[in-house]
Amino acid sequence: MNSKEVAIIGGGVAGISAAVALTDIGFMVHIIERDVQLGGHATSFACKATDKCSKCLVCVADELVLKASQHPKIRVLTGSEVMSFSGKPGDFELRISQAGGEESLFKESVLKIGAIVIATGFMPFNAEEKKEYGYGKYKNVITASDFERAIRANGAISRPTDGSAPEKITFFQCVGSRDESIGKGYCSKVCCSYALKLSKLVKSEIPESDITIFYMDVQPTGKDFLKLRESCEEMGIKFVRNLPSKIYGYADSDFMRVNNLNNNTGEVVQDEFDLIVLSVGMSPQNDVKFLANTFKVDLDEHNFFKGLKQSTNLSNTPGIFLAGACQGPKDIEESMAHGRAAAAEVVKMLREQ
Amino acid sequence: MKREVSKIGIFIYDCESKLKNVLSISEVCSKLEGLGFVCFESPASHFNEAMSDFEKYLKDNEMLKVVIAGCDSRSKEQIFKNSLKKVGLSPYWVNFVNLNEAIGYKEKKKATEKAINLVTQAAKWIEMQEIIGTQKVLLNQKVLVLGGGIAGIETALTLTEGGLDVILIEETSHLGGGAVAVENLKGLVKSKIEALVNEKKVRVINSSHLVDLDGHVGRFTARVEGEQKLIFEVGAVVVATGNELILPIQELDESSGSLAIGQKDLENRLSLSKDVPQRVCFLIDLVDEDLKISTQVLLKQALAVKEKFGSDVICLCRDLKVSFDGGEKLYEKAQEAGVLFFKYTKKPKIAFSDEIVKTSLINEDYPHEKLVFESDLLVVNEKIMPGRGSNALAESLSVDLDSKGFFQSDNVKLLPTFSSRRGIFFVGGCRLPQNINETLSEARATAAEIFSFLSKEEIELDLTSAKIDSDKCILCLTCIRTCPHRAIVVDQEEETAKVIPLACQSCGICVSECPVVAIELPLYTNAQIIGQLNDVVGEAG
Repeated sequence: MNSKEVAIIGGGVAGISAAVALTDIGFMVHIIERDVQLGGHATSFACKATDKCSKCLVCVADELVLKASQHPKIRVLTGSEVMSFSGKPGDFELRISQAGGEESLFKESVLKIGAIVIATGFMPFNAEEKKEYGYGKYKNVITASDFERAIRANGAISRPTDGSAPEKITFFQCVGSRDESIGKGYCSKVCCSYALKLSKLVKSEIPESDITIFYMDVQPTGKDFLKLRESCEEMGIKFVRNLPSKIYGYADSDFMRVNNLNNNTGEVVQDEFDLIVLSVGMSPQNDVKFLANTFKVDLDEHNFFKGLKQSTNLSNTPGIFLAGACQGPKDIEESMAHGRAAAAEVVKMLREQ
Repeated sequence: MKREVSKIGIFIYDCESKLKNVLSISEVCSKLEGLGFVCFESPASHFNEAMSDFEKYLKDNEMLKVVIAGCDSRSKEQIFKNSLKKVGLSPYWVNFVNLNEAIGYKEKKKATEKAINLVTQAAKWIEMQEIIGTQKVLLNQKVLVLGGGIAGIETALTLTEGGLDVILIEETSHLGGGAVAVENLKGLVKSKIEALVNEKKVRVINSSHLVDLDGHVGRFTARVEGEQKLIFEVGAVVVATGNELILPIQELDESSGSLAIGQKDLENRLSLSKDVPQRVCFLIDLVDEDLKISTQVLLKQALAVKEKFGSDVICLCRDLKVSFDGGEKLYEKAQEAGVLFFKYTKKPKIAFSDEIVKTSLINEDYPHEKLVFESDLLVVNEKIMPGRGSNALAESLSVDLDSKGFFQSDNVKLLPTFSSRRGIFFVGGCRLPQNINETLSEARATAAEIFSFLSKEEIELDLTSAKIDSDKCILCLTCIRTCPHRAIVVDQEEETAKVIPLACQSCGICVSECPVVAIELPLYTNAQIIGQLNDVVGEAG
């Protein structure tokens, strides 16, 4: 018998979008979330509105969490993880463990479900792997994730050394993306868009700041991307096509030195910055191998879950579906659509059963 | 309406004893009781205890309306509403107060005053809240899909999975759209077309187009013309009319002749196994530089030309937009095969002479160096334009186009394929030029949205939509003109404007525009808003 229940692994924007779409169609959904709360990375990012909305969609994540946590047909299991699984499509058994049981520290339970949606998202690239950028060594070198969290928490933009407003800021693109030397031979799709929006935010908050974006190629997303890029240029944000190879720190200084190529003269120039934001890319989650093994689903060469050609929501194992950035880098908008599309694939499979 | 404050209950609870220390709950209660409301102070100090208290409270007291005051976030509201539903109370007859707003005051007296103010206003607001009626609405469970390209086909196929019938209208004599011409998509498109043609729940009508759409979400009437004139009743409409490619002639010299072709022309040549000359120069981003499709096509074609014909291949672009699945890998593969890439910021110069194209640009790595390439063929990306019929179609659907003439999404925060009219959706390239995976994904997402909405033949709708007082309405048509959702129509018999509840999104624009104040939102009535304003002004005065 087909179960009208679905388990979703991961409660970020993709997982919640899939959950809401499935309940709308009449399913009961269990969201298995490892963290203590729903929302994933998106709920730690900052709103990037200047005088008008920049459509970064971060606010949507908060709305989705609210929707999921109040939904009568969505059961949210926070602090829980997958242990093992068995059965066939339409009739799976999923064993999970949840933290905070009363008798013991972990409570085990079995879910009987018809389908499983993997929506475990991504991990921001660990910038310490790029040693030459001195992340962790120089205080004023931060990742874009750090920057987003700091802006969200404090509402103000400051440099970590002394908390004052930074004067010269730069974004390094493609940190942990498009870099085969560290096994990241793929574009993370989202970094150009968020770096441009963040740089606009900084410029509008601190108009006298000097901002440079070091990049290889600007990757567009969505409607009106050219307008976004042009508005950055109009505000005086500089785009320099080449990625500096190293960051040099000084003792007792808030500033750091960066050598780069001047695109107009072809000369190597030295620049100093007091805030360097590393636009870190998306890396696969740390438990993908365990999940791939458990569910017998393939990973691609970069360890994202491998979607089929006819539909990236389908894995190679019938009954196991993929949603969001766990299948490959995606922004919030694309993750939400991918989540809903996964719901449609679940319906299709259970009909064909 | 008769004043029945004794039927309005105020339920106040502390949150982990946060309130007790800063304000006097009993003082708040006695003040409210002085105004005639029934107040109850829960001794619970934790949300879960407060909930069971609340349920008991509802059982013991015969209340009509409730104000719940505590300091929990919005996330708890639904749990209270569920309890109300259990005892048969209207979820619209409850109001919430977050007493965190009062905690900011250091003095207990001021904090208590603020709390009294907040709770009183909430009570007065809910006192004036009239009952929200319901209406049964019939939904037509058929869907009209306009366009038989990959976006339309995938939407139609997914809709049938949800049990809906689909009518698919295609302007040309065949299905497949632009994707059939793309070498590595042919197989996928063919298998989808086959599935569609064999699907009993889909009726495909070729060589036809929509001429008129009447009605509203759930009950549209579509007139279609082609070999025959047809009329369909449908519940939702999906626009998937794709886009068109145009060679950017003005960017090229008129003498280009056959020396310059578009990426689509090259695709045709490659699929027909026609010869490609020895020296090929690809030049993209002269137009549509913010679309990544041109890079995707460029990489595939450059590699194919190199591998099949061993030509010298040079690619010039502003940015290599590799932000698609497998993009970076394809770029590397092309480089390894010997394809050369150069990026430009300043547009390259192109000159045609004697069967040779000369392209010159500044070498960005060594800005003093000028690069000049001679080639036998120049391949450029076409400009992606809205489909030819977009203007007329937008007019008959009463929906908006964006500044470039593509269909305008309404609210990206919901789903990018929503139009400004409920029940009408834009999928695929007619909305935004995009690649196949993105199109397939948004087609399925849209179908899921539609079949959850049209899954029942009849739904009961809460009438929270705008209401027009027919006695006051002077039929000036202001509301009809300003409604962005086309949710207001003229009722000829009653001689008044009328709101279609299912199409209305309660945005309130008509309420503020109506010159004779004939329109109200039932959850934000004029009396409620004026009452609150008076309180605020009174407080300030």
